[in-house]
Amino acid sequence: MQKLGEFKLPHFFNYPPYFTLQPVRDTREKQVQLWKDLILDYCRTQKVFVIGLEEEFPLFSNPIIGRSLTHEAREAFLSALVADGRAEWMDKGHRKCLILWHRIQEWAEILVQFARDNGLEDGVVTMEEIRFGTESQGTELQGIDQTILNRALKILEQKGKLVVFKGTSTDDEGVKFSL
Amino acid sequence: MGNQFVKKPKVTDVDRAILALKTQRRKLSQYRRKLDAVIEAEKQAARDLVREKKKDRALLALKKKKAQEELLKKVDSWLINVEQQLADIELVSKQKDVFDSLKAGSNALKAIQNELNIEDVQKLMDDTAEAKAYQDEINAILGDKLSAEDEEEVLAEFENLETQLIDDDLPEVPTAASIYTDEKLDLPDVPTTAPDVEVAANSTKKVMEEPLPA
Repeated sequence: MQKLGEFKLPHFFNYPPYFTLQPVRDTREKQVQLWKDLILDYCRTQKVFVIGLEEEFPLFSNPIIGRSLTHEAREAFLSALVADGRAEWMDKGHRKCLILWHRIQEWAEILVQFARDNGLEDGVVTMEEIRFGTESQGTELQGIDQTILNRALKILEQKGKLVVFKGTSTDDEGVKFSL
Repeated sequence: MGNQFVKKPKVTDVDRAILALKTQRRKLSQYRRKLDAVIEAEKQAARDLVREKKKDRALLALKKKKAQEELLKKVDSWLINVEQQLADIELVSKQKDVFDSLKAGSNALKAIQNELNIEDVQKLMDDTAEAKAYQDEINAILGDKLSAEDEEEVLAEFENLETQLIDDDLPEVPTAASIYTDEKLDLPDVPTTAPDVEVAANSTKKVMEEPLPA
């Protein structure tokens, strides 16, 4: 099995036909499904949050068989993920895609669990602590994308479970939990 | 949409203070990392300069490194102060929480005790005692009626039972005594051994006498 760093690539990655957008509807559906799963899997394990369609994303080409996905193919697969609610376009031109291998709601729940695990039911933490602090090492929250974090925090704020605030202008942004 | 009146947690001055401290902690850590990098770079530069035999410049690099190390020590002690204060704030706020819950418990206790009036309790005990005394009186009256008529009968029945039990006991004793008398019959055999002792005594006397004439 071919590897991309530590990530094991599935067999189909080595077959040229999979890199061409299939015209026949049934084959196309199967192909899209395989690519959707692959993209989500890869992003989850490698903690990739944003895919830029124009950029060199390792999944989009296989130099060993000399094939890479066309722009149309990339857009097709990512749009399928968007339709599933597992991704979002960050711009109208469909150039950047935010990958949600956890849905925003799931991230919100992970945040709540994080607060509970670390005794933060009435506590204050900075954004930076959530993303890079010692408590989040080894958890899902480590290195989380700021956009996703903000969205998850907003959901929880609407439910009254926390409040995002800033003390003085020199302070980091902080989160006060109220679980 | 439903919840218009969701309670938003209030941000207190304490929270802002904590946030400021945590921000400071992050900034100091970043600064510390930067100082570490500079120190490492100066060390490397000094090494290279020594290799190139540029003594003065090597010494300069080492002096710069020393200055940075002193600064690092200061930053470390500031960091410790910030951490200490964060820990203190957390400790004090937990103490306050404990105090608040103890106070709430004490208030609850007082409220319940207020409902329980001492006079009510006394009245309750008195009522109970009255009721018991009344009951005892009734029992006594009823009790009197009975014993006046039946006490003699009961006493007679009691004496009957007693004598019955004594009679039951006596017949057993003779059977025990007959066992003993059977054994007594065996005893008369013993005296027959006495005469043997006298014969033995005579025979020894005869034995004693014989050697003398020799």
